[in-house]
Amino acid sequence: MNCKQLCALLDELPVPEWSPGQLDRAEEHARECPDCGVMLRREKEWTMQWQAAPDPEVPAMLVDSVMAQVAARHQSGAAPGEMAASAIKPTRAGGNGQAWAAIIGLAIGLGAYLFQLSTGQLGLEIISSAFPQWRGELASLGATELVPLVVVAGMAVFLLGFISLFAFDAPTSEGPDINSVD
Amino acid sequence: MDVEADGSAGPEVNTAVLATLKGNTEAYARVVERYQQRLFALALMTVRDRAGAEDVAQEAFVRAYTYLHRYDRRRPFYPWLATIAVRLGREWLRGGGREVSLEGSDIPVESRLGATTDLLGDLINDHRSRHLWQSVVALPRGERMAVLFYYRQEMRLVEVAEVLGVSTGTVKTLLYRARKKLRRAVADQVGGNTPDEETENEL
Repeated sequence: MNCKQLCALLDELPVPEWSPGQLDRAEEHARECPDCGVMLRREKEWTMQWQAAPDPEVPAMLVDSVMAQVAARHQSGAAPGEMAASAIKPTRAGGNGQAWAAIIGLAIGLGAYLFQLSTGQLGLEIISSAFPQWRGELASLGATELVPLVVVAGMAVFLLGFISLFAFDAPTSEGPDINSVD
Repeated sequence: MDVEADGSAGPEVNTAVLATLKGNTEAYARVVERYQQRLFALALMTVRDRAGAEDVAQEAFVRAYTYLHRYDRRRPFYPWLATIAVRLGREWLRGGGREVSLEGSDIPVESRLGATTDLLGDLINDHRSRHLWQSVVALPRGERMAVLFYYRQEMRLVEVAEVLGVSTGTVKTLLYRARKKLRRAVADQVGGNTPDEETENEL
């Protein structure tokens, strides 16, 4: 190991994460290089000092305050699990899905409209060829009647999604999940 | 250490949690007593305000009690509790807008650390330890949290990543940046450049 490699290792990983082999090679180099020796020693010293430094003093009444609140909740007649159900706050979980549905609906509607503007009757012919069983119905509708229907449907999906974002929040718990920290 | 070799909470914590879930609220006091010091330090490092830290720590314990049925007893208890505290700390900061005051300041610029110096002066008597805490408390929040969790609270990189909601690679980066600043802070205290800075200059 050389000076550059030791610096890179010090930057890359905390000393406690080093493998025994990495530590041996670093110490071997540090014995030959005074600068790196000081650097490695200080890093270890800082780690040990920081680990050994006393924690800030805890407020004297913390346990009592917590337990008073816990007792009050317990006296209200609920065990932890039951309490959680009543402590649930409505959140907008599921809102993302509704928003995406709304956006996709609008995109389909607008896309169909723009497609029709650019291709005219061609759009209708493409749909007819993709769904030959609807050929008769599509022919009787005509392009100018079909496209507004698609646009209106898209707008309706968008509006429903938008309204549901605010009116029908899915009640999910705000309880802690270690795998989903905000 | 309160964590068993398999990573689960220790038997004492598990027993207390189980008793609490069965309705023995007094058992929960053992959990609070066990973790109050660590959690208060975490809250203090998150919000950098003594009264705020007390509120956050207290609320975190109460929330943990409320949602205790969701705790997976095969896993360590503290990272789960710390996740709650970190989230509450963020909410507290968002509510009070206090994060801007010291965030990203260089270390240690005493004039910019007046509030922090007073804060830790009350809570830590030993001068040397206080300087170490001051150096860390002046780091940006991510780095501060990563250093605290990793070096002080004996959490593994993967646990730190879970609590902070980031990847282990990000935790390594946070620790790298923090160590670099802290080396400089230690050197400032001693006087002169850090050896690695001198080496970097030479390279």
